[in-house]
Amino acid sequence: MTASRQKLARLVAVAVAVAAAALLPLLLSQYRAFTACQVLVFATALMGLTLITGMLGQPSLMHAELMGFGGFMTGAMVANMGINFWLAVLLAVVAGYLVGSVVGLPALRIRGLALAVVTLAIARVFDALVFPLRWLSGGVGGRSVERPTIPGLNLGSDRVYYEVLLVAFLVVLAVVLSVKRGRIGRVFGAIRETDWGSASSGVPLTRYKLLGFSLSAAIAALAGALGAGLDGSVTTQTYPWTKSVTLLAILTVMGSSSVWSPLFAAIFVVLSPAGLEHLPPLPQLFSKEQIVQFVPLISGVSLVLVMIFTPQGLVPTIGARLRKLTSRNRSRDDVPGTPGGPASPMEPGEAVGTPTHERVGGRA
Amino acid sequence: MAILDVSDVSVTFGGLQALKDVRCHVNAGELVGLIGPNGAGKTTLFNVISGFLTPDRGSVKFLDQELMGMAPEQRAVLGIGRTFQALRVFGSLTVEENLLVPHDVRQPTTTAGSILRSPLALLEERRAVEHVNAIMHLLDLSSLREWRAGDLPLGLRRRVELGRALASRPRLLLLDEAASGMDNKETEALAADLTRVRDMLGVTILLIEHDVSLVMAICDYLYVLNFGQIMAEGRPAQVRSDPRVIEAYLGVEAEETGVPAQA
Repeated sequence: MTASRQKLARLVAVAVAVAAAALLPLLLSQYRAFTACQVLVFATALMGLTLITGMLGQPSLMHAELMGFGGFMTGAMVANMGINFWLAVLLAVVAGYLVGSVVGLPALRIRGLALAVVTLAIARVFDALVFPLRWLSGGVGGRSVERPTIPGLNLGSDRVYYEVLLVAFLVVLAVVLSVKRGRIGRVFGAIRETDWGSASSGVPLTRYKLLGFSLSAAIAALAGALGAGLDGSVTTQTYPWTKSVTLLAILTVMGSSSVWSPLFAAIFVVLSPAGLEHLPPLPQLFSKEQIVQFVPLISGVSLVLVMIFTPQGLVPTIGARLRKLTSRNRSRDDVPGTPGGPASPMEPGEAVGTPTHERVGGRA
Repeated sequence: MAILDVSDVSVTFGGLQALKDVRCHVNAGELVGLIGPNGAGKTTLFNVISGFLTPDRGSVKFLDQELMGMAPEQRAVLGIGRTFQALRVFGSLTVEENLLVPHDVRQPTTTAGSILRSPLALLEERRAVEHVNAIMHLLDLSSLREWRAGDLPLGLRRRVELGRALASRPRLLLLDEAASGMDNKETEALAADLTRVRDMLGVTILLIEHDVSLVMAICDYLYVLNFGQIMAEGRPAQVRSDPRVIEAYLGVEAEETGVPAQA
């Protein structure tokens, strides 16, 4: 397959995937459309989280709080300053960027588990000190945020608001992909591996680590802001610190090195609480209530198992398997340029951390 | 002319005097060796020069500029490259990406410019790739460009780290145990590489090395460090015949290597 044809095939595949995503709400009930919107909100936020965990290799247990910050900022600016929702979203993103460079400061001194604990502490600080601020959250009841408007579009319908969220998600996806594949992503990868090796190569660790946290927080704030518009409100209960833990845990299970993991992780984050209630009960053994009680235990054990058997996470591992399969098929069939075929860039599992692992493994 | 001038550097770790009033200098274009028994303070001195360790006192001048108080990355940008005894390659990056990183942090494009793939950013990237290609060619790494650095055997990883250090266009290169973990053939190739790097790229090299025959063969000048102090210095031939050096360091080496293996 020539390079230009491959490029064309990729372009077509991307266009088809985007069109399919854009048309999805037509197939969904109003209730499901709302769920799809929630998935996009969390997928966007998790996209920001991969910048830190996947690329910089640093944990963050405060991302739900950063979403909440974006939501509260938007609501507060609309209510207190009377500005337009979209302008408020933009300002919330800027505020998120600035907050990111503050909450990222601990990462300059510590990494790994110690950093995880500190970011968790920061999340608690947000819950206890920042969110109760009357200016920000409007007090205990939280803030109601009116669904924004665009002339000519009925954003009041979740099916239409979905398209706004999809655009935001795709823009964030494009930014994250560009970061990952460009020089900034390489520098992030260097920092993930070794501080000393990076510094000796001239990497200003402070600047790049804070850049990662700032970008990540800005993206989370964007997701939170649009999420507030979706929900119609933000309260101190919307983003408890436990949500931050869930986000990191599920993203890790999916594999934080892949830019496709956020989407799968978001589906899981949004659907699992509701989905577990639909679990078929095992009447002879346990009642439904008992099963629900066991859910944390089951999740914990599965987390450990996934980490033992696929330390890279599910998405990169499955993606690599699929790619191996399709590349074998491709060499056998040799049907080049089929749109949406094996060369599809939407194929999950493109790892940030191990860009050529499979290739090397295959050759060795 | 001295490119590097270390004067009166002292370092203590707790009660241990790791370096005591160390003075040494390296002239531009020279290949200088730093030898001495384990624990003599060689790597500590490297850490002081490259900025990873602040000495209790003393000064380090590079091209007549005082380095004290400067962060490691600033010194790297000034032109001090280094490798590590315990390798610090970017394991999950490819060989090519490893060598591109020093370029990446020197590009003048803004963050936004590089995310939006501005024409300038793309031009810079092409130039960086050209330079990196030249270095990979020089070090015979071209065929490994796409390999994950972490998957390579030790000798090749050392070579990648050398390449990464060279990619930042250093004036002075600090090589910590460049040949350790290499077999005879690899060591010979390394010796050829180092002289080539010095002659072709005009890089001054300060080298920590245990392989005495390698050091004697390629170095212009030697410093011998023992218990944190410079105990001898001079041309390789001078140092080799210095009785104190033989007693403290070379003698041991000679015994170790002089006895043929019975097995």
